[in-house]
Amino acid sequence: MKPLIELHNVHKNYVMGKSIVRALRGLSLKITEDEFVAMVGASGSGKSTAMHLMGCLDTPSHGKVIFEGKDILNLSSNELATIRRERIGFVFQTFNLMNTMSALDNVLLPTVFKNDDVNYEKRARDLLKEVGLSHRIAHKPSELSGGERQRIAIARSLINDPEVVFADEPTGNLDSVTGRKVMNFLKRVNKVRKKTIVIVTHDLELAKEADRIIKLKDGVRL
Amino acid sequence: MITAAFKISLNSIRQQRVRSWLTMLGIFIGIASVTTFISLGDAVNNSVQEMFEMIGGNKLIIMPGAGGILGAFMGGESTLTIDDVKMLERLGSINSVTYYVMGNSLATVRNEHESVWVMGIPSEKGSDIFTQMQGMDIVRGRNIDETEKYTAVVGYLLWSGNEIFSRPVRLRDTITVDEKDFEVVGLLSKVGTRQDDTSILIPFETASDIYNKDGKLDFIMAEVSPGFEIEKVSEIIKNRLAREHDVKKGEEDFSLQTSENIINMVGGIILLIQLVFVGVAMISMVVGGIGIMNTMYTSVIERTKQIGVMKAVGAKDSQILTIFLVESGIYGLVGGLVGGLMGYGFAKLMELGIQSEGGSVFSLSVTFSPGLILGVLLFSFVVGVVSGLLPARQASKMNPVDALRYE
Ligand SMILES: Nc1ncnc2c1ncn2[C@@H]1O[C@H](COP(=O)(O)OP(=O)(O)OP(=O)(O)O)[C@@H](O)[C@H]1O
Ligand SMILES: [Mg+2]
Repeated sequence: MKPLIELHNVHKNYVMGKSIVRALRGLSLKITEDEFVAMVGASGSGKSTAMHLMGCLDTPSHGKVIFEGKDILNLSSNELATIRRERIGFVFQTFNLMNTMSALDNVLLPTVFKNDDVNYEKRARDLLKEVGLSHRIAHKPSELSGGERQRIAIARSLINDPEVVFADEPTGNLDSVTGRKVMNFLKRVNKVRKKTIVIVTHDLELAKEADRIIKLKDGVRL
Repeated sequence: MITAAFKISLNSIRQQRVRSWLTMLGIFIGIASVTTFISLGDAVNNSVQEMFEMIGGNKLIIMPGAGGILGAFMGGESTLTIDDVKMLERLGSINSVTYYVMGNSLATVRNEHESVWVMGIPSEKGSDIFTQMQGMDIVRGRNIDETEKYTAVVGYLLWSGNEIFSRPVRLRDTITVDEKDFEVVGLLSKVGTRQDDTSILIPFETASDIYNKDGKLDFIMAEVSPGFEIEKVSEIIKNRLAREHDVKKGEEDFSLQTSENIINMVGGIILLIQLVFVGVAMISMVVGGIGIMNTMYTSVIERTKQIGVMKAVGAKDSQILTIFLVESGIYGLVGGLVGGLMGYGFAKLMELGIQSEGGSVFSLSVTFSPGLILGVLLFSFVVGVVSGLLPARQASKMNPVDALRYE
């Protein structure tokens, strides 16, 4: 299996006035295609930071982040945006949907930034159907439950048929039953659609269902 | 992408209706004033242009007082006499000469009293010289005869409708001015300027008596003979008149202008007034632009999280920039559209106001100019986009992770 993402001795420092927060302190890891990986660790251990770097949302202070063979430090912000749009899907703990848009428009949002004339509406409707929200297509996020919002976010992450989906505590704001459903759906995406999945979770029961667990502590692997 | 940008921007504008309208207030006012002043100025220009087109370009106009066309409205004792006319008639460079005295009187027709302009016109050499040089036509009846003292020819608005007299004046009607009865012998065609169209023409001597003019004239018009250069003739006559009036150069008690001069002068004055007012309106546009900028900065901060989301799903910096520029451009465009229509409506209202003001000299007609509206829209759109430039840049440069973390 090809390595999809590699982190080599990655450091990430946040400068806050005079103090420096060292969120990652020499983290190395590999994510292979079609894997289902769970990242666990205490709060503040650097899980989200690592995920943002793997997802090309941010760049490392030191070390290398290689995405599909390319060092992201060598890529322009436009190239990184294109990678995020075409190769990556994100699911967040707080959903991060556009609250003025309908469920359908939210799912379509990533296609807005493509430069093609393809109509993705059918695909978006199919995805909403797949996550069981056919009857909520015209609703705004504020009219939906947490579980429903997260399912919209998952549909959105898949609209551009990415290679990898990053989910940062996707069940963190959901009750255990709803969280269970979301987890099952992500597993199905991994198995059926052959997408690489990286999730961050505090729920060790859920983490155990992953192919592999990466443990972080104070910005390095445990 | 651009349609989606519109959708996103409109969403955001609709989200804060009151704030959006307030944002556009400065643009409304600025564009409304610009449109009003330009439309009105153009209308005045057109009406002056029309007035002189009727007269033609080879005319010299002599008026009492140094102020010329402006001084004529200020009144004062006239200094022009029949002797001046005789001097002009003797010149080979002058083809024909005419003149008038003028006053404003209450005229009575069938017990109805209305204010009209009265012009005393020369008739001993044929009153047709006057009407022709003024660009007037007699559509019915005849002109004033040289032997007559109490006949009148009436302007278009007096006989064509009920705007001045509720029952239109007809041929052979009697018009009473200053206790003297005049028989209407002719009806004038439409000239297009309000003063001419609400005038009564009567014989010179009679009018001179009524207004106690003592042989003095309010206006002389001379046509330059073919083959002579109007500017040169004008210069020669100016010197001759100054000598005969015994005044120094630069201290003339009359003003002499070519018809073309007057058009240019009036055009120049109007342009200047337009520029001053448009300049003042620009202040409003600057304020409007700052208003848009302020709203856009607020909007960018409020939507930080949305910006983060859009970047996370693959929006490029330039695309974020576009979304916010479209938003500020919409503010400019809508502001310009509403302001432009308001300004046009305002100019139209003023036109109606001037129209109903009976004794006014000009009849204005404000025309809807698509060019002006387009220009104004383009301008306000540019103001909107330029005002949004800095806030939109700030939005586009946001670090996606920081934007996503923003609460
Ligand atoms: N933008 C930032 N500015 C300053 N400090 C930051 C920033 N982002 C993260 N940090 C700090 O970096 C460290 C790692 O943060 P990170 O969010 O990666 O942790 P985490 O493992 O995801 O924690 P949690 O489980 O609570 O989400 C924390 O100490 C955090 O305060
Ligand atoms: Mg985190």
